[in-house]
Amino acid sequence: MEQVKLPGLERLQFDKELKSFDGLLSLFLDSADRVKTSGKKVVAKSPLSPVDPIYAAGALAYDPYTHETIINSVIKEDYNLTQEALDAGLNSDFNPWNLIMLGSVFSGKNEIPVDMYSTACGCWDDQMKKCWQTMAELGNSPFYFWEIPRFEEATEKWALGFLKKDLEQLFNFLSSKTGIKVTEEALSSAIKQGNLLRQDMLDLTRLLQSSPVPIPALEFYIAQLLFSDYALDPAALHSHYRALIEELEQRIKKGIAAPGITANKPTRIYLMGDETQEFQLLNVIEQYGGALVGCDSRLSLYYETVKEEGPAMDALARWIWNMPHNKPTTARVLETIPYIKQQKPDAIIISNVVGSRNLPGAERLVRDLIKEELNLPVLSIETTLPLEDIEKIDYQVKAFIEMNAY
Amino acid sequence: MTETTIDFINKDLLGSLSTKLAQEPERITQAKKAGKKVVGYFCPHLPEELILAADMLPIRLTFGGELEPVAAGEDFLKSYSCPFARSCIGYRKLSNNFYYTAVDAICVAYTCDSMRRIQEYWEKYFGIPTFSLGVPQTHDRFRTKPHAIEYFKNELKLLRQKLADFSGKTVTDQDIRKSISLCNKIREKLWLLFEYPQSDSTPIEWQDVLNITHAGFLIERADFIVELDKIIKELKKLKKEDLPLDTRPRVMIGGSIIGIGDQKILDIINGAGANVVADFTCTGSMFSRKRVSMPGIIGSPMDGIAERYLYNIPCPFMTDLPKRLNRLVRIAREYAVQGLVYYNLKYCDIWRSEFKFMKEALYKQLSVPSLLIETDYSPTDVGTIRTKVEAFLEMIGGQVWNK
Repeated sequence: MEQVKLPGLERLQFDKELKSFDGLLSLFLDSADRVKTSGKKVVAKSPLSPVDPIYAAGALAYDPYTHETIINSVIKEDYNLTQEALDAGLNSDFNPWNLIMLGSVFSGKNEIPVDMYSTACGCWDDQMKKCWQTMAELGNSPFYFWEIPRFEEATEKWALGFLKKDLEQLFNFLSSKTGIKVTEEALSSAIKQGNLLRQDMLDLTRLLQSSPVPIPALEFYIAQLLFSDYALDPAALHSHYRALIEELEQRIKKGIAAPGITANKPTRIYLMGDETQEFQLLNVIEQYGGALVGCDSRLSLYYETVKEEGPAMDALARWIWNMPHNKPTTARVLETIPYIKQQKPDAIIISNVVGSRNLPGAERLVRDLIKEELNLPVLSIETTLPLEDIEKIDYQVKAFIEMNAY
Repeated sequence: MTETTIDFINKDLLGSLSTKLAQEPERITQAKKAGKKVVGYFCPHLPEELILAADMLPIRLTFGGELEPVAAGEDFLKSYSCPFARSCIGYRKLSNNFYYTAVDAICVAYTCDSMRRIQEYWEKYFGIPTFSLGVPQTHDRFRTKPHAIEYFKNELKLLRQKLADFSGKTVTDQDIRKSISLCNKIREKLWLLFEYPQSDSTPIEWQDVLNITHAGFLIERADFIVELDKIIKELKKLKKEDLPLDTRPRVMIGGSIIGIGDQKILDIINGAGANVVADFTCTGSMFSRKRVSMPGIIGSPMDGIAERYLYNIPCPFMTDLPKRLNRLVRIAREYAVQGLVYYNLKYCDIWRSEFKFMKEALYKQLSVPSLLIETDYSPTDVGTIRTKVEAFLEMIGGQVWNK
């Protein structure tokens, strides 16, 4: 059998000693085969749209934004897919994650076949919402938008009331497509399952507080990206996360740093903002004497566990409404700062994806707030598709770490 | 472009309005000295009735078309963000546009990403109070989400309270009724003007009606009604049979916001020999579409405001695409449009992603073709756009719409 070439993976430097990560990566790479034999409906959702309702309805959550971009852009380096997205009506100045996602879906190169589209809309990322609309309309697929109202404490009563009603309608939609009624018990069970994974990510992040840092930047970055749809197999992902955590705890006990971290006393970097397709950034950070100690691109999905006491719907609605990315920028940053502080960073890198209007639109505000609240040096970088910006980033990161090295 | 200049085509008809507009900065300055507060807003989802009811002056801040504010706004928003949004911040930073410096607070409807950013930057860097209004995005034309309007009503009540607190005045239902009545009069009169270009013998062109609408964003509302009455009175004196037949191709303009002073695309279309007769933009006829229904003695006037502002503004930040398509086709039919020029400000994602659907709907239902123009406020692409528009007009020029 001919070996499939994965040029993007060959370019990246992985921690070959971290055995549990191989399992995690295999879980991701094999997900298409598992889905096909699962017999379950697949619901496409955007990265920061919570998945508990989908699993409660007996369906599989699938984040094509993350999944298809990693497969087709990062790993296979198939950038021609963006043309398919342009043919579908998007513009070349859109966020390349969206372009790759739509290109994959419309060219039929998406790994996972979609049964329906349903995602949360909120006070973030119009482009994502319009992509979902385009995929569903042109694909002639069932779709349902549910909405997370804006966050302001004074609006809590009616905002949560609205959200709960919208979730009820979402459950009706999902039930009509899956034939499975979403009961209080099913929702509680989905939340409990989600909490196991949320706790895994919190534990994994806690391990990054250690010195030396036990997990390389790239492996942590990928591990948290996979969280957005629970890798289409929550139980298996939980098991792989636990194995990874146990292996990393062993490293901490032995005082072993991740092999990619070359400096004796690395500059501890916290990565904020948009997720980048330039995975080499993570290698570059370590190459020049840094270590990744945290990343907030999926933090909203595991910022805390959902309360398991009381009515499940109430707890879920409150948790969703309080997700950091649903908040205005100042509130979001102020809420995120305790998470950043506990990782003990020396410096912050803010990642912007050219074409994304959401987080880059607030970058100036975030940068100033970080300086005011944490007084840490901040580097802003911009990326597009893999390989397009790596030379510039290489220089930027090198200079930034040199300037802030011990 | 200064803040008092709007270039009316029909200067004889609109001289009085032009004079009034020129006097407005001085009038606002005096009003502020007398203790009146000025509140700015950007999106048409924000009911100015609530600002008026709190005895404050509303100004819709929608200047555009200039490069300097865009550049100034780039200190805050990235170069790959909407030029209108950058302008909204840039004008305030430059302090060279009276209206942006005159406002004491702004109200922001939570519509697109850019609008939310404008609020955040004004609040942090310009230090003035900002008030938010949540607007549901996912209701549909069949109104299957009754909780959406309940939510919106609560948001409106909160905004009303915040504005009352800011002005220091108790806002009663009677105050709201009065302001609804005032705004409804404006809407009715503007809508009357927007109907004129349905005919191919019209005493007033769509471009003038657009400019009148823009003037109405700035002028004190009661004065604006007086000016509208003068204009309508003059127009009614003219008989249709005495007016020349306009044989130019009839074009509809749709898409991103056309700010006050953003003349680039309109000048190109007019210069190429076409007649813009209708629009599908939020600073054009969409602003005056639909009255707020006034309740009986028992009902709350807030219900009418919620109904009007939630269901009648076809902005694509909402997810109900079919509703927008229906409305677009209806307008094209009513105005016997031969072509749509879709004006998309660069990086305006919400409009850009719907062009394909709008183009297909117009062509399938009315055989009306569309032309996409993606641009910003820079003059560098004028030649290219002119060539595109001329070719488009040549294509549609031979088509006659069978009314």
